[in-house]
Amino acid sequence: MGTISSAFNLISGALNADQSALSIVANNVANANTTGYSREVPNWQENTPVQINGVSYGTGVTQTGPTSVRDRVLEQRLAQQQQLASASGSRLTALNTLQSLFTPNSGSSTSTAGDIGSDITSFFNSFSSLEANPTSNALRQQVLSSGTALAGDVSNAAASLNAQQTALDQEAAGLTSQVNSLTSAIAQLNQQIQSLPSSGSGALEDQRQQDIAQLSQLIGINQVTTENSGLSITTTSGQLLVSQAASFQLTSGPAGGLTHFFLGGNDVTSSLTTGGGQLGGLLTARDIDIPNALAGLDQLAYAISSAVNAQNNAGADLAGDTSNAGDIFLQPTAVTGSAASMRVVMTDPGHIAAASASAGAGDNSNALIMANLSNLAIINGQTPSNYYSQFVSLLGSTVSEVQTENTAQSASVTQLQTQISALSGVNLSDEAAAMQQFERSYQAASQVFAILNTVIASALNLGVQTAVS
Amino acid sequence: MTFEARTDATKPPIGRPQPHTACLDLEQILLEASACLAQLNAERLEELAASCRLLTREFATAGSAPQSELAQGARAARPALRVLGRVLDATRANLFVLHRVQARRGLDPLPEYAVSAFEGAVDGNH
Repeated sequence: MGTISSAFNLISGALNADQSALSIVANNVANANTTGYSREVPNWQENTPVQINGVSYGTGVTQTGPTSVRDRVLEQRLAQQQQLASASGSRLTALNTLQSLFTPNSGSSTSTAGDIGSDITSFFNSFSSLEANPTSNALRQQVLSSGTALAGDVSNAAASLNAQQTALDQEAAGLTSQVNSLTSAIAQLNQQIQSLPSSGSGALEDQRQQDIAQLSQLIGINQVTTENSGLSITTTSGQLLVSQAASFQLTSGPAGGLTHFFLGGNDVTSSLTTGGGQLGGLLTARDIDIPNALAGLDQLAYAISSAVNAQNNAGADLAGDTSNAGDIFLQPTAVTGSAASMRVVMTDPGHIAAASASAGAGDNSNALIMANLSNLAIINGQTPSNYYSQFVSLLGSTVSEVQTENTAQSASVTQLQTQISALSGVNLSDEAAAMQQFERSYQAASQVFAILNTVIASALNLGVQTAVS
Repeated sequence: MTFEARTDATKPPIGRPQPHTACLDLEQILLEASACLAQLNAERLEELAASCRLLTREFATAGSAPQSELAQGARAARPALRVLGRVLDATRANLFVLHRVQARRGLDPLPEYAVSAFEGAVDGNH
């Protein structure tokens, strides 16, 4: 040491290290517009000093390769929020389709499934009309016509719901191959990443992160980091999808008329439903929202059919027969399926029992009772019209709630993407400034919320106003 | 869902609205605030906050006629208020994660931001 030669060696080593570092910077700039690219920073390592006569002499520096600038905590938070946003987004799409069945299109007075609310009113009003002239064949025919319209719209709505459920089922099943492609790719990348020194795996980790982001859009996942930049991925309920270099295939098959999903022989459908991602949203709509809507329609159809049939059988028909009046609607044997099978089975309007059993053919007392069914709480403690109004209103509330959730989750995803860009993006924006911007935005938005919350609360509280300083 | 670029920095501040028009703007302000918060547009949000403060002073001195309009605007704005509340919740959760990330970095002896510093990190969900 101490010779001119060793000094040159030390200097040339430093220059080589600087050259390597410049290459890393050049690579960052070249990839400025590459999606998913994480900025790399050079790693510097001091060379081993030499000891001469008890004195330590430095031997310069070596550039040991680049390290990707990334933050797994932020990336996992982003993946989690993407799963939620994707789930609520796909569920919202399905709910909007579902709601359109019961809501008139813009510029139209009827919806895809007709107007069940008006049908209910018209049907019971037809008994009121009959009550004024109980022997009129035209008015009796009107009862059957309005009953046919009601039954037709209810059964059409049920058929549309079933068709939508089938479409969602097929869409969900179609995601299986995408999930399997991604988990296979991630497993292969795991193997490649672990076979490389940590300083050389940046590009592969970027690629793996992009695959994980795509997978997060499809299903709910948890990530567990392992040694040497390895990664295991499970569903949110803990079933393994990727473990180091191995991937586990998601399979699907029919069960109970719908597609179910399996991992390692276990049925994971319900855990995937609550897990998030597009698949979670589709399954939530398929297995919860649509069955709920169908159950509501079934209740409506069962209650109206049963009550009207029972009352018709309690009266006397046009011929004064008390035992031959029969059913107006097909009598459902169970609540489930009542909407789909709802139809008018009476063909002879003379069998409508407008008269009470104890009176003659010109009596109208049973028609009066049947008209009054519209005012009785015959469906879960509610009148038919109120029950249907609440059904539609509840559907609207669900859509609104999911819309709100989706907006908030999408906002969260946008925020996190901004922060991750600030951290690992090539533009080298000051992360501290980005954080400050985040804080300022939150503070200012909190003020807007607090002020307008007070204003709105005051305005709705009998016009009492409150000034917010 | 994606947020449209409604956060244009060139967009003028709302300024000093008249009460009867401002009450109709409540929903728009809230919708814009949600979009700005998603984009972390602090400047526009601060303008909106300032406008809201002006708004309340106007209302405090307004007569009874604008109050009925305000009530109408308030009813229409409630869904948008709920959305902003949920976006704020999500933002607060994200801030919590970011603070935690910063705290971890401060404790870690390895090079800042390096991937190895976060091996075995917690999952970021809470």
